[in-house]
Amino acid sequence: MNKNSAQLVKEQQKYKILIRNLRKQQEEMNNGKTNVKQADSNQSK
Amino acid sequence: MERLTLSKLIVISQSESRSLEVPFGEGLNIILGGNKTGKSSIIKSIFTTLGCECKKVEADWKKIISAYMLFFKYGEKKFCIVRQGNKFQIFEYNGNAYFCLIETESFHEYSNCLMDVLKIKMPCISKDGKQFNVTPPLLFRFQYIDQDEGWTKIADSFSNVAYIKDWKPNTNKYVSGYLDDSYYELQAQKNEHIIERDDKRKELNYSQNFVSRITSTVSMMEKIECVEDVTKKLELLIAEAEKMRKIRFSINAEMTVLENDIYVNQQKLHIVSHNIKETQKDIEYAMMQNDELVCPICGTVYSNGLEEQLNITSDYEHGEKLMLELTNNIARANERMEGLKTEYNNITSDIQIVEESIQTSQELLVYSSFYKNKGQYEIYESCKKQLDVIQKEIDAHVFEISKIEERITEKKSSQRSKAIRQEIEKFCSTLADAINLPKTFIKLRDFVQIIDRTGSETPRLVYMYQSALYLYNLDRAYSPFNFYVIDTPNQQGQDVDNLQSVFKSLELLSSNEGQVIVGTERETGLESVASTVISLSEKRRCLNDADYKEHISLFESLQNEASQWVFDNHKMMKTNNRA
Repeated sequence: MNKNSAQLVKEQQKYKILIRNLRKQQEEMNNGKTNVKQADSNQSK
Repeated sequence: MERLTLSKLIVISQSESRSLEVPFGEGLNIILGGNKTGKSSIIKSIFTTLGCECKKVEADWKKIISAYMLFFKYGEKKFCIVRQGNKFQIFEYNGNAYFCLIETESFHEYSNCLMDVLKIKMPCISKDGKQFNVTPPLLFRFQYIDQDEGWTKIADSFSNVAYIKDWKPNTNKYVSGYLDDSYYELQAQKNEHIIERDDKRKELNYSQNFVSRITSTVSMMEKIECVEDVTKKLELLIAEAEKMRKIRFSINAEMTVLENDIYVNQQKLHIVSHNIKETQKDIEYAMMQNDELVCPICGTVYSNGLEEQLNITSDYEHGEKLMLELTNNIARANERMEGLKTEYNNITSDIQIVEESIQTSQELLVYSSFYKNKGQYEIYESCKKQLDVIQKEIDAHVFEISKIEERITEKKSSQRSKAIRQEIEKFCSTLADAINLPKTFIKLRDFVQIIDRTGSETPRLVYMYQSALYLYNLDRAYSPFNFYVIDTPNQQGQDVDNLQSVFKSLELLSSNEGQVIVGTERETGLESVASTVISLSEKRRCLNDADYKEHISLFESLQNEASQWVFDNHKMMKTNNRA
């Protein structure tokens, strides 16, 4: 494997990690919103 | 059996120092005496001495008589019975003196001894199940008509009979000769064969069990040429078992490794499966984002084009391939595992078979040394041969039993019973003629006359039957039934004509082949032909002191002989006990 291919694989890995992290982040945020909504709805009751 | 003839009766009163001797001859003997002269007491004393308890005995007589001595002949032999209270002694005359056969206070011991003397064997059972030989009151019950109830009931003068089971029918049949000694002899033989057959059956059963228990082992042993073969085989088997155990161990080891692989692959599969799901979500997320993505930490801008998204998708495809591969691996491992399990089970059961063979061979070696060295094999062989012998013996007993049963059935046949009944009826008929009784009154049940008449016909029926039975037995053979004692009834109010006809009929009974003793108040008219006539005149004074010294001396000499017998017998028993 030459240097460029290794670089390319590294880049791809980084991209995949970024996607995974961003997705997780969003899922956490979505979960947090859902929790807040649930808490609100509980209070209004 | 022999003829029984009474010779004399001696009664002794030691308290009054008086005694009486009454001699008896062949044929007719008459004891003549008025009321209360003691004739009935003398007659009852004959039976008392024999052990027959008469129902009514004068209390005075019972009180004063201390010893009864009855001398009698049985065939050519002479005997004497002495009775003092409950004590019985039997003596036999040997030509010079009397020697004691028994002294006992047990009635049945005495009775059994007397029956041995008379050679009579008729087994009886008491109502509480005890077994013994027939007793005198049963044997002699038809030979006495007592002055009280004797003229109203047949053969019912003695009180010590009721405790015996079926005493009436059994003695009726015995005395009439229907079920006689030969019948009881057959029964005894049958019982002996039954006992021996049962013993042999037990022996056969035991031997069969012994033989069958050992046959299987021995049949295997017979295949062995020598012990060394078994030993070599045993060594090979042990080696084979060891080899198989090693194989089983390696299978077990491979199974453990395989189990581990399966576990690891399943873990991998679980992880890959999880990753695939995550990657799937990543793809969906990436497809939803803009063409460029900025890292929130370092600010680097990444291209989010189709190429990049395809790159993630290829990860997904790789994951799926990996999953497939892992699943296949697990399946293959499971398949191999199943194979190994089968192999393991097969080899386990093979080991078990080899171990059983080892055990059998080891047992064979033990049995082999046991039977061949200790001679037990010979016992087994002889036992096997003995089975046939025992079976043949059993068959022989069964055959004998059936033969005896046939003879018993023949004896008990209705034809024979009818012939005997007709014979007794013939004698009844002769007597009925002599005492003016219609022959239609003759009705026998169990060979005994039925008393179904009243008035003066009852005593005549009793007399007719018992006299006819005496004549029948006299005609049949010599036997203990060849003496007959008639005590005429208390004669106040008796029909004189009837009494005269009874006296006249005594002529029929006066044969010297037998012996008849008649007690009477009035002369019978046969005194001139009677062999002895004893006249009693004094009331309550029939005992006298004329021969007392002689009688007491005879009595004492018998007592000395009895004491010596008791001493010798006691010594003998002691010696036997020690032995």
